[in-house]
Formats: sequence, structure tokens, C-alpha cells
Amino acid sequence: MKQEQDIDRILNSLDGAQRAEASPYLYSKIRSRLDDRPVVVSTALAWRLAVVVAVVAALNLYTLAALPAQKQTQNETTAAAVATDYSIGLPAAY
Amino acid sequence: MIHSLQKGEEPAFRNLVLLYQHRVYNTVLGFLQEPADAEDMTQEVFIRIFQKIGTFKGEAALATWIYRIAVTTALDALRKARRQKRGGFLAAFRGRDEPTEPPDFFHPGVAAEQKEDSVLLFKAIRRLPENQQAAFLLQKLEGLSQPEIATVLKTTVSAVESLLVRAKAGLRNQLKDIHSMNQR
Repeated sequence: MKQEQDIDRILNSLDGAQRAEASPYLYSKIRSRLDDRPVVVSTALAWRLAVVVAVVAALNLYTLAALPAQKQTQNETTAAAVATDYSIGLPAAY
Repeated sequence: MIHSLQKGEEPAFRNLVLLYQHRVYNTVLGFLQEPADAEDMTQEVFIRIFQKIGTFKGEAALATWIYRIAVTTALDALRKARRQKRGGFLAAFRGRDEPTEPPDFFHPGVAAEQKEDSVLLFKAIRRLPENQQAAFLLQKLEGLSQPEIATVLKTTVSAVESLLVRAKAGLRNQLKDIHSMNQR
């Protein structure tokens, strides 16, 4: 009987307990932790950025690959124009 | 308030913390039984809320959603602590370290004359299965009704009723053992 009473008393020992209170600086600490965290980029956004970077890289490579041929053609055209302007022909074979 | 939170407005988040900080801390403290850990986990709960508020659809009350995150975060922390303890136990078995029994927990809100009894009760609560612990603590420390507990734990009212009956029976058995040992 005494045992049952003791157990009941222990079981009810949280009845009427006041709520424990958090530190008054809780918000500042949370804010500080949020500010210290690295910016999280979503997977979808990361994929979109990767596609944009890949497209820009591919365009750059294409432009670089096309550049020497274009430059050569341009040089030949300029040389021909200069030759015409100054009436320079190919050296005649004597 | 929810709309402002979802837009990431700072004053709304600050108000949310001020409004729910003690409820979250009290809940987490009941599980962890260590004020410094509870403080740390309370911060973690609000960080999770800040990150997940965009997914809140208003199907449950905001308070219920916050309690759910608090319970989940506290249980995650307990599981992590248990894993570390098991590691510590293995180390002790190999003769490296002494396994330590958690210190007595005095809840700051319990009346002075009930403090000693509450220490025994918290020790017994720690040994209950997780869902029984959650139901019992939400009822005793936060005064939640059975329907509210059911919403937090995403279960039915009858399941909560059953959890509470089993929790009390489990606690009674443990306390009987403690009482018998003290009588010897």
C-alpha cells in the first residue's frame, strides 16, 4: 500500500510544473548561427547554373576553334587587296 | 505571420522565436534532460523551422508543426547520444574509459518539494520507448491534450491513449523496482 502511494506520488511529480524558460539571448544565438551557415544552393538551381556554365564554355570553345581559319581567310583577303592596290604581281619567271 | 515568415521577413521570424522559444526549450529539455544540450537543440529547432517554413502548408496549426520539429530534433539528438554512448561503452570494455551514468536531472519548473520524486521519474522516462516518451512528456510538461499529441505525432487519438497507458505502466514497473531496491 505504501509502495503504491509512493509510486503514485512520483508519477504525479510533474503535475503543476512550470515551463522551463530558454535563455534571453536565444534569438541572437540563432541569428548568429544562421549568419555563419554557408548559403545553401538548391539542387535544381545548381543544375541550372551548371547548364549555363556548360553552354558558355561550349560557345567559347567553338569561337576559339573557328578563330584561326577566319583570321587566315581575312589575312589572305587583305594581302590580295594590298597587292592589287600597289600593282604587285607574282614575280615573273624569266 | 506565416506569409511573412515564408517571405523570409526578419521581424516575423524574431516574433516566432519569441512566441515559441519557451515551449520548444521546455519540450526539448524534457527529452534531453541537460540544459546546455537543450539550449543547443532549441537553436537547431528554430534553424530547421527557418529553413523549412516554405514547406509549411497550414494543414496543422503552426504550434503543432513546431512541436513536431522539436520532438523530431530531440529524438535525433538522443539517438546520436546513444550511438556515442555505445561507442564509449565499447571503449570502456576495452579498458580505455569508464562508461558514465547520466547525472540526476532537476527540472527548473518543478516545485521544491517534488524535486526528488521528479528526478526518479525522469530517470524512468529516459528508459521508455521513444513514442511513449514523446506522448508522456508532451502531456505532462506541455499540457497538450490527447488530440493535440495525436496531431504532433501524426497518429490517432486512440493510439495516443494506448501510448500513455503503456508509458504509465512501464514507469510504474520501473518505479516498483527502484522502490524495492530502496527498501532493502
